[in-house]
Amino acid sequence: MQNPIEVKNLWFRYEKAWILEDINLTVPERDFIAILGPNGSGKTTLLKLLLGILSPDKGEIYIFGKKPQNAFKHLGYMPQRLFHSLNFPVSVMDVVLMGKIKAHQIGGFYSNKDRNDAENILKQLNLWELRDRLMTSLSQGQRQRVLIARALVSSPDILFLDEPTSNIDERGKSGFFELLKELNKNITIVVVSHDIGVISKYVKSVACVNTKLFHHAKPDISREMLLTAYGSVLESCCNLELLTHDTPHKIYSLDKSDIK
Amino acid sequence: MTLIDVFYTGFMQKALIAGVFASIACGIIGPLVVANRMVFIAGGISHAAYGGVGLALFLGLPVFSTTLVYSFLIALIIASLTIKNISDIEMIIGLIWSAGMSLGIILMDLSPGYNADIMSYLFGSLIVVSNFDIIISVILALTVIITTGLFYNQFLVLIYDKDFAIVSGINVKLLHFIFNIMVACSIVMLIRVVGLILVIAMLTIPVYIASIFCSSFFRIIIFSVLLNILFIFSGLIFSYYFNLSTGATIIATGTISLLFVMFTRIFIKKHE
Repeated sequence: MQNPIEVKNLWFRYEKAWILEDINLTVPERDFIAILGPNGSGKTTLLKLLLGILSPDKGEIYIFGKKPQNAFKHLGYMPQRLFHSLNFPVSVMDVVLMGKIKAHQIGGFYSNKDRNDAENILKQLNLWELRDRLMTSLSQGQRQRVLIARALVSSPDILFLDEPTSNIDERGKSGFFELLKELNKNITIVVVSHDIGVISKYVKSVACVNTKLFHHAKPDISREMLLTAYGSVLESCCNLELLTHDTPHKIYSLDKSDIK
Repeated sequence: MTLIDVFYTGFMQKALIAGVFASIACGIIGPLVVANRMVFIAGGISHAAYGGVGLALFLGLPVFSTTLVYSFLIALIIASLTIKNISDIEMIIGLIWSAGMSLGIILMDLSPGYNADIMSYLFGSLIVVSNFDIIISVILALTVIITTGLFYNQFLVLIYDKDFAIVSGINVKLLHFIFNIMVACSIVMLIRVVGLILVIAMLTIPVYIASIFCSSFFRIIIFSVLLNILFIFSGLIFSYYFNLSTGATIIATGTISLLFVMFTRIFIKKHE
């Protein structure tokens, strides 16, 4: 069986400066990997490359041995937020059915099976009562659950999540990661986050991205990892607030003199 | 002449038929344009289309079909420019917008003889609709209906979340080109009805009113089509009785309706 994700010597840039340099990454079956890094580190770019939204300048990406653009049947994607569409009138059910779009390459309507699948996933995520509500009328947390449902309804083999907990409170975060842990029994999960706190209790491996990538097999948030991921920006603005309070002993030991 | 008699006159019947089919096309495309944030691009295509009008008059070709082909080309150019996230895109659209118009004006200056119809392309004139125009209008409207029907779900996903559309394996580029061509189709139909300067109003006013009342995208489309028909019918009648320009009267009817709905809403909210 091929690995879900295989990245070899990946280079990427938008303009002159390289955003990602010589990235190598192998994600085994049923891994739960967190891609960590500060803002502007290239972690979301890496996610978009893995999903085939962007194409690499150099190097290769394989999803189950296929190019991402040809592997869409394996991919489930939950975006961070929907920026442009806040006033767009769609119901929860409509949004979840969007996850079924891949079955219809040209036209057509959603089948009864699509609707049944959507119903099942909505019930599983306790969203069934909200099915006819407009997305605009939901709270941030509810909206995020709907987006998860949309990603899961196509039964993907890999679930990608971009900053899934950025708008959820601390208690909500734990619940959210419990859900992911449950899902992880069957599928591979990739989470992009700048929030090291809660995540560290749930993930199986960590990749720190800051132009280069450092892969750690165990979710042991060490001082070097924090320095690699956040060191360069600690100088100009303290990012320690971003690291929530679950691993205080590791965070409080950092100060400016430590870095030099 | 009573209202019934007006509708029995030949030119009025043709005007209404052309108006209904333009209403259907732009009632479908308008909501997609607004949701896609492409109003400026639609404006660019419609004003650049004036170059096609000028070209037709200069070469002595049929205006409607020449403008149609010309607008398709403009739409393809704009589609290939907007498919990548270029930072200067607004400037480029603005350039196409004004360059197209000036090309049209210069070609008209160079055209032999005096053409009294120039104003009708700027501000619309349903009175000069020919049978051939109506046949093309029907074909264009059917094209828009069928294409939107075939790709409706795909368009919805694309508008709502482009990245998700790509990850789902939707051919985003193909849809982008198809959509721009459909925008050009409805714009050329609208140029006959309200003129190219007023096209944007016809694409947006019904959508704004419909968005207030409708809770799904499909309903917004249906409501926009009905509102367009209403505005064109009432605009035609007013322009006939008060001897006003049809295009401007149609848009005025739409604008007054929009203001009426907005103020009624504010009034109701205050007194709740």
